[in-house]
Amino acid sequence: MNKKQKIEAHDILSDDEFTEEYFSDNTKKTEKSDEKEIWKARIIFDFLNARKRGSWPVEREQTKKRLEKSIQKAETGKYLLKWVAAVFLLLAIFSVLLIRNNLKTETAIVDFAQTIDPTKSDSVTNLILQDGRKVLITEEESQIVYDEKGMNIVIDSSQKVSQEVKQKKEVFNTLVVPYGKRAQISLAGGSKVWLNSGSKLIYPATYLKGKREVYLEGEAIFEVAHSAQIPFIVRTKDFDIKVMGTVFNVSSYPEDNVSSTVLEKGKIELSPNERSFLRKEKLTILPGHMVTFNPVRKTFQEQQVDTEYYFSWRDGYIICKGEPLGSILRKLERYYNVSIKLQNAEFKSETFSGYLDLKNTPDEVLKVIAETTPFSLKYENKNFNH
Amino acid sequence: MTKKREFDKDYFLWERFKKGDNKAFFSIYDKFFDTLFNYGLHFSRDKDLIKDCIHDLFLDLYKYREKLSEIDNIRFYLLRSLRRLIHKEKSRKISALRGEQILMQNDIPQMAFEDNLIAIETESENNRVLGEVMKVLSDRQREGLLLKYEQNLSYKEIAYILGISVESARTSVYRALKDLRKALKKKGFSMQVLFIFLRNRNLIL
Repeated sequence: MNKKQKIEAHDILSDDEFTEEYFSDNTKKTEKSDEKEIWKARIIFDFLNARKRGSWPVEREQTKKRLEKSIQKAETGKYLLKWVAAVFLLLAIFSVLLIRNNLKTETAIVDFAQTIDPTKSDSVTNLILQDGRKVLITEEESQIVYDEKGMNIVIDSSQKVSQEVKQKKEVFNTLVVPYGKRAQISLAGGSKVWLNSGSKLIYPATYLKGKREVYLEGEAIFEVAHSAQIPFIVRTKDFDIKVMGTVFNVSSYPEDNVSSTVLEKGKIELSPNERSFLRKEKLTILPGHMVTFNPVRKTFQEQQVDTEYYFSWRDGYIICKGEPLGSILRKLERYYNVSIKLQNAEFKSETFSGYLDLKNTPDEVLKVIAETTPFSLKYENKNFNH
Repeated sequence: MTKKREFDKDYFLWERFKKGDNKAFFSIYDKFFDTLFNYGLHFSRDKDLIKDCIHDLFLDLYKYREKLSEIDNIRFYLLRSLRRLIHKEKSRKISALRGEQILMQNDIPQMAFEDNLIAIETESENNRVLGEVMKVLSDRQREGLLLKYEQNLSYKEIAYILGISVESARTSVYRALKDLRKALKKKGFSMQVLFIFLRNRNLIL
């Protein structure tokens, strides 16, 4: 450009730094600038720049309205997508929680129960305290009462035992009732439990706020003090029972195929221990009903029963109504801690109805049964043989 | 200076829009609609097509705002996008026409200066002369001039839009300007206006 020595219109315009201000700003012009060339540049610039000035308000507003509508549509779709995504996320979280919940049904009390030696070789009732001390109770029918704090325990209104109990910390006591013995226990929370022969109950030594939980192996009748806020939970090897306040019987012997519960009063809720992910079974049962748990199929079976039969042992007798002989004999074996053998296994399924007084000796009870049947009794050491 | 300040203003507007400010979004729309519409008119006389393209351009901007990169010249960005959209839309229409075998038309030139618009501009003798020159310039030259003087884009940006080197863009514009100047020289330009202009300049001085 410099070789021409003269700056022409196209030089002015094509300059990188050129802007419209060139024409009004004199500082940008040099002595080389030619008024004529500047004017030409101005004419060309104005010509080229002319179309920029067109204004399209109608088109602008029309298109704006359309754009707003399109945006709204796009947003709705986006929100819908977000909602769908959110719902899926919630479902995923919920599923994970559900799975974790299912896998983690074991609680401290269940863990503790597994540490207890399952042998029932003791011939006397055992009360195992929090510090490991064992209190032996020789009575056939014993009564154990805890005070409100769980520190003082009265056994059969005469023996007194104390234990140190720290608040807030979960500590357990265990009551082991061997075959041939029974025990009644009043827990710190005011609930009562009758333990049948060959049973074990693990319970918190003190009344913990917000938690009432026991573990049972064997058979027991619960009379739970009412509390709407704090449910009372009975855990067994097969299922958990949640109650607010009620009277019910639970039978869950390790040697029995089936576990069951019979409700006399109130309302209880059952859930199996091994919950499957897809069907989280919860069964609420009403008074007068018995629920049997099938551990193979992991299912509950509910039937209406005469509750009397299941609670009578507490009062020292057995009522049977169409009950198979095998089942009756097993009850007697536990109650008296004897072994009863049927020589002809066919009779096992023979059913009996009647009233058996457990205050009598075992052979007296068996005689009652034998009276109605062509059985003969044989007594061998401590074994009774038909 | 003003250009720089304008850029800064645009930059903040763009940043606000990217952060989800709908007001900023419509400010950008309002600010650039006329520019874009005028620019679009260089490519097509179909106003509905231009409106469609501007609509699509802003809808895409809105939808993908989070993915938009930082840009230093909104004007450049919008013009380039609109140009692409119009070309896409036009070639779609042409191929549709071809498919129906209704029209055996030649390719619509990239830059179609409309006669009616030129007529408005050729109100003066100078403009008429310059208009004649515009008609014989190449498409690239015409668009280069337009981007440089109507849209204030740099040679770098022009080169980017036209898909040529910066040097080619510069040369292309320079030659076009030279042709325009030559035409003015040949036909002579209104000295009367020059006189007024010189007088005005003297007043300023």
